[in-house]
Amino acid sequence: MTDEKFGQCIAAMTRGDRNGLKEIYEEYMPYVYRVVYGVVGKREDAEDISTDVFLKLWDNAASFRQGSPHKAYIATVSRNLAIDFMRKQNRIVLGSEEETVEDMAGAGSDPPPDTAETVVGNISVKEALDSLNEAERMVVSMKVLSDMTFKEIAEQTGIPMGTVTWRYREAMKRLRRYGFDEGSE
Amino acid sequence: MRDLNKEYKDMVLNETPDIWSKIEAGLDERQKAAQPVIAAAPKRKTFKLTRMMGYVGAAAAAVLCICLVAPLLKGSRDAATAESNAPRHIRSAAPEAAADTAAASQEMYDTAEIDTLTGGSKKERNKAEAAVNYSADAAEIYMEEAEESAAAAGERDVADEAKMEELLAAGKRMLKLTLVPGADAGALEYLINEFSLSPYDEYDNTILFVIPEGIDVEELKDIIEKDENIAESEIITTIDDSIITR
Repeated sequence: MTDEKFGQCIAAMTRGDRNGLKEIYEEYMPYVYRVVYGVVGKREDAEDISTDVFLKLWDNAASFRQGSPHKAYIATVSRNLAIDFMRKQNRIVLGSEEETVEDMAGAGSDPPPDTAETVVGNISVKEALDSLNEAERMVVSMKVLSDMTFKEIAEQTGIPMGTVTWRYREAMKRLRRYGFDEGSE
Repeated sequence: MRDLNKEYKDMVLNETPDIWSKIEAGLDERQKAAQPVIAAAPKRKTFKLTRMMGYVGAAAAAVLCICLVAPLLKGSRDAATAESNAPRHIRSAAPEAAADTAAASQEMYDTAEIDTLTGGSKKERNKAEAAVNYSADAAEIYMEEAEESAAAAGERDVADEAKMEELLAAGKRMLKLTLVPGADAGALEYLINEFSLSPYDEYDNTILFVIPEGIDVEELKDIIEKDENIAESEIITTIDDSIITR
């Protein structure tokens, strides 16, 4: 969807026309759901928050600046609602002192993960992710699904940037054992 | 190696639920929440006000009728005084109306009553006849105005409710001024300042003022008479729970 088309949908929404929102929903529901899921990590919560995202787009239609990058706007609304939800649920795993110490100790000294480590069977991505702890899963999901940079993850969650990168690296080490790499996307 | 990014995104994409019905339910809730504010509340208020204004209009009509009886009785003693106190538009209408209805008034009003009021002297009788004729015309005009007021009261804007409540107290004197066509309301500034008049309502070419306590009404009338911007003037006193209506 082009910015112009998105602007037309928004204009229709400001007139109370639900078709404007329906068009945005049909185009961006998978994206919104993915971004939200990347933060909350649970299907039921992701459904509820995705609903809130579209209702928020409806409520704020009048304040949307026409011509601004709409996909970034949708992503921001989705991430913010998801992270607010996580904060209310106290589900954001903040960095611990132990992790920070480990992070500092490991910085620059750990060898790159050994990609030649034994690959454990042919498991699904879901099973591989289940092997991560909650803190690691959140960082990987935010990075992969929510298209967030380490800096954004650190800012949004309040977790130190070093902790974020360290968790991601540890998670990827484990995932490589299951035959997964970051890929090109 | 398998592509984590692609497989993870594909997995979530395949799980994407259809939540449009939930979104529509949310939109419906928003609409329902907005509706009562727009439609229901003012309607209820208008109904209440309309009914109330109907009573008030009727009360105003009754007040005006009482106002007519007093000049009639007073006029029998001093017709000239009664005439000088009458509003200008009625005074100007009186001579013509008196000529037109002189014969009719003889039939309409009992001669015996006039005799009783005047003691039978010819001079007093003529004065009384003039007063009666004038008062009859005035009564007709006042009654028309009162009926119009009562009718208009039902259609008054709810926005005047606050003003209305302010005037529910008894004994407020109101000044109703109708400007000549093309006259500017700003020309009345001197009058407002001189007599500390409080503007109450304005419509068409007419302005209603509340006259504060302690104002010399005769002096006010004199100045109004000389003002070329004013076509008509009227002083009305509210009583009981009545208020001034258009």
